[in-house]
Amino acid sequence: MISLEELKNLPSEAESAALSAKNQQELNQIAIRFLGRKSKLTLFLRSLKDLPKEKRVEVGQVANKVRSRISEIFEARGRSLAHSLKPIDITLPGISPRLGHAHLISQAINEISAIFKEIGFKRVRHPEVESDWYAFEALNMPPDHPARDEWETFFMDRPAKGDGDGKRFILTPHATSGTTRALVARKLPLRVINIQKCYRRQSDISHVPMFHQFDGVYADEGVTIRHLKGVLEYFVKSYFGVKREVRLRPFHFRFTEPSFEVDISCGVCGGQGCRLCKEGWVELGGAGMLHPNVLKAAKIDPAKITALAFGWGVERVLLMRSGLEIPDIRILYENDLRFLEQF
Amino acid sequence: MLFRLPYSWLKEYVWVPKNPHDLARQLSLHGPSVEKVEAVRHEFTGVVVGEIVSIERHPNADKLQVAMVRANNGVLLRIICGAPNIKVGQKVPLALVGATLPGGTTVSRRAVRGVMSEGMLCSARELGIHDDHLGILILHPSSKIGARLVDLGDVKDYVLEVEPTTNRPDISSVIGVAREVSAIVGKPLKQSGGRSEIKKTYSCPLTVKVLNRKLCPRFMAVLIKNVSVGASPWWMQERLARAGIRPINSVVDVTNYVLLEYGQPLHAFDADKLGNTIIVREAKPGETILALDGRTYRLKSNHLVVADAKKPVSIAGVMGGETTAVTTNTTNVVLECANFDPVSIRRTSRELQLFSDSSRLFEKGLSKESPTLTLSRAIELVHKICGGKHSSITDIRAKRYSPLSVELPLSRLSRVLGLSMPQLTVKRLLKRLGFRVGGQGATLRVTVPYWRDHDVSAPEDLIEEVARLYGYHRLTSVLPSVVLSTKDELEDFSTEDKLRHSLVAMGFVETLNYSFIRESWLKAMAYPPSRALKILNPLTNDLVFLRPSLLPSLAAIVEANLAHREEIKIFEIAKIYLPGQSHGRGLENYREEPVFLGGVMTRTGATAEELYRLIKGVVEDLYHKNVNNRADIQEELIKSRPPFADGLSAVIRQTNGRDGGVFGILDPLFLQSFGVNQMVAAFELPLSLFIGFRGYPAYRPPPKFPAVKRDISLAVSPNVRYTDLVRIMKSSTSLLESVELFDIYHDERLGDSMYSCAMHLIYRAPGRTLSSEEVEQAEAAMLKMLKGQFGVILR
Ligand SMILES: [Zn+2]
Repeated sequence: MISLEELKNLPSEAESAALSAKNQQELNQIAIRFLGRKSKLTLFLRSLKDLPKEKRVEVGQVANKVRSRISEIFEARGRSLAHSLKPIDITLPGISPRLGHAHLISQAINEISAIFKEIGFKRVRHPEVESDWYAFEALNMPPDHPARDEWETFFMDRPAKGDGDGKRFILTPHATSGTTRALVARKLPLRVINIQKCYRRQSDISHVPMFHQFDGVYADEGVTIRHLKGVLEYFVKSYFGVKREVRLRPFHFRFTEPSFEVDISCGVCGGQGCRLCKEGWVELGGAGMLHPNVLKAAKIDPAKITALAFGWGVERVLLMRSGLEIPDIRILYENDLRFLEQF
Repeated sequence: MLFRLPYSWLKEYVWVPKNPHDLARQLSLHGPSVEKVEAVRHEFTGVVVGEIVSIERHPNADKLQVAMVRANNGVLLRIICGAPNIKVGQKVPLALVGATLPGGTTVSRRAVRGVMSEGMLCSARELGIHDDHLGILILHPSSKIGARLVDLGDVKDYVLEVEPTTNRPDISSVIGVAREVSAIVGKPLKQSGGRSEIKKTYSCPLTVKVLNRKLCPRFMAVLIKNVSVGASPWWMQERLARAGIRPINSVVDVTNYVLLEYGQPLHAFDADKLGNTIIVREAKPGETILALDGRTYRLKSNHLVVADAKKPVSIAGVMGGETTAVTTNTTNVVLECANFDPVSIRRTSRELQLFSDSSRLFEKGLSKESPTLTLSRAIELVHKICGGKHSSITDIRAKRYSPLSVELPLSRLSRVLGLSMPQLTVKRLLKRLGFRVGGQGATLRVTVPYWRDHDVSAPEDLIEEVARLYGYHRLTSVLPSVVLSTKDELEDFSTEDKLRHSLVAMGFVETLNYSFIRESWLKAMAYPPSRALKILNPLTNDLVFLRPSLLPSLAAIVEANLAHREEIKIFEIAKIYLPGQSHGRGLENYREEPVFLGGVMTRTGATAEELYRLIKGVVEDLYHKNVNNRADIQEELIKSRPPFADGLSAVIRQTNGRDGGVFGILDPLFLQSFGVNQMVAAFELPLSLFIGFRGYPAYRPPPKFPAVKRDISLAVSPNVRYTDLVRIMKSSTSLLESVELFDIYHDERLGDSMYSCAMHLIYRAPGRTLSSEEVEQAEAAMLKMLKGQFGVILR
């Protein structure tokens, strides 16, 4: 026979035993061990009759409490077993609510315009079917200037009539035509960014006949090359990461003077020089201070006003940043859903 | 135009650092970009200069010869050789026994058809210097017998790939780069050759007439008699080859060598074939010339030629003619060194589709002064290599040269740089670049050196020169302070963004299409091509018209993706292009470019009705989310609005009465022309529909009292429109809160005249709980009204 001490421990033993039961059948067997005819408790209760009466009542009350406690434990465990859930294979696939996908280029345009918005560049919208005055002449490229050959320009089949007599219409080959429009139409100080479709007669693994450029201009008194460097660095570090460095190399454009090519340190080798870069640098695009002739064409006095400008390809910065490793830029425009749905 | 510059050549003209990568970095930061630095070296050993003493036929083989070749210390070696171009007395590259050649072959003594050969004679290709493999490489007669070939030039070198910008053709030359290096590193140019006045020996017998001095502002010519034309020296061939120019013969090589050195083209004629008359004139219509590239060109009167008394002998500045070409048989040569009008050269070159190093330089604009030194350098080299006696120089100029002078106010410099630079620094930097600088005050007077007279003409050009030489990397950057303003804020972009987000949330995939489409796509949507904007010079026949609708492009995407998709939901936000409404009246009325939102969806097996309701749901959600979340869109049935199908599409009527875009089912014939043979729904809405709505509708508290929900099924005639059905139901009782259609089906028992329409009805009263009697009464009244009005029966 067990001691009173052992009797009082029975509920906690029963509790852990009950928890070990995986189903009702097992629980029943365990319950028999604790409450059955041959259980320690039953044997104890039977032995009570041998005790003196006062003691019997006292010990009997304790023993009965133990028994009802143990019964409760098995009932509770029985209830919980009855409601318990079958375990789930947590590696089963999720069921997608089927979100759609924004195009990679839209995503890039959104990021780019957000970055420039932070430093006060307002986004504007300009025509794509443009007169050659805005695209070339106002940008210091008079008719028949050989520089015009560098753009593989699409021409519209009909010239302008009426007020626009003699003007040729083209599909603008660069977003810089929008810069001319902004200079002509808006008041100073001017700080705008134009992100738009541009067109050139070319198609190969790194060129598409339609692509996107973003072209920014900031014109005011006191705008200097140092501001240009500040703006370029802000964009590069925001878009490509703070570790990337910027350098300006002398270059030549008709509409800026000085003109630069903007390089950023190679993201693959960190500027050490590798197969994918030129001596540690990769070319981002052009920039410069607007040529006085451009300001004059927009009736702005170059003796008072200076302006910084930059113009880069959206596709180019997109492909330069990411780990996309798209081997052929034309893939961006093929509209294969199996491609678009990856991003 | 990439320029390949051997480093050793540059070193002749200016001090350079030992490591060419250092120079490349410096040049890229301050001057022309260096794209690449390539290490080059000869991959052969044991090759010496040999002299051919005798040649006999091989006793056992018709095509082989047995040559006795003198090598080191007069030793005679017997060499078997198959090349037909060797002659007694020639100097040739002789690979001795034990020599190694590029690719790893080792030359050994061996019997060839029974005769022992003690070495081999090499072609240019066998030595890896250039590609000629038709014969043995012939060396210049002055080459010392027995000398190691590698000692005649530079066994190891680097080649810089320099990319001058289009405004600096002067940099496409050894001296041009040397000038830049000199300015950047601050060391003077070394003088080397060609600087001394050429002494006159006899008077020039040539009669030169320049008939168009605008197109040919300068023409210099000289006759050199008794030259011996053969192979140019090893060092010259080596440099030409490394610079990417194929050696031809010593005179032609000199003209090419000097072109690379000075960036000024020259041309050599065989004087005996040319005669004594040179006329620079416009071509006569129909005149032809056989050019050095072996092709015959038919000339037009705007093409400038150099002609003899009768016919063109060269397309001026573009390419020489074959008949007067200098060959190894030439004994007298005429050298031409001239300046031609860039626009004329460019036009000629383009019209003839004939491009040469010469035309590429002239069309960028060269200084009229550069022929002087270039020609004397060429005369010097011809003397040195081919001998001969030269005449006086004939020099015809349109105008006397006077150098350009530009004023540079220092204040403008600091305004652009954002820092003030001491006058002395500015002067020093400009002088290093060859400018002469005068003036003491706030404005400098700067004289432009002749080689810059095409790209420097204004203060800004000088500011750029000072700034780049100073170094852009030395300027600290400043972020412009931000001035915030909501003026002229365009709502387009944020609206596009909201619409894009909504559509992506609905599972649509954004596509991006070219703005140009082919004519058949216009025809498929019955759009007259005459009303579309057309490209004059399309890239291909697919890309001719600017699209007046987004839907053809989207239909093409459906076709391309149906093979691997059961369901397609795609959209695009882009401009469409239309001729201006008031066409022909002013520049800005040329065209209109409104932004549209287009989308299509299809699901294999879906009916037109299902797809219609799905696309309408998309349009309604866009409208509710982005325009007005209370008002229903007002749709009107439309007809004749291709590519939408008649009777299955609707136009949105805006509150101001304007057309707010179309949605519905696409015409199967339209789809068929894209190869799509299933039902497709689409929408095309102007972005303007969504512009100008900000804020929210007034708050409505959630109902406090419970609703009573009942389902009914009605038999309805197809003539009754759903919208009228609901209107009557709602007008019959104020208790009906909403109606939701959950099924439409055609029941055979009803026949064709009726169909079944199942709905959830929600009844609710404000301020109290409805009793079932009330609802039953209301419903009975409603059914009665429906029956009376439309003959609708409860099923
Ligand atoms: Zn790298």
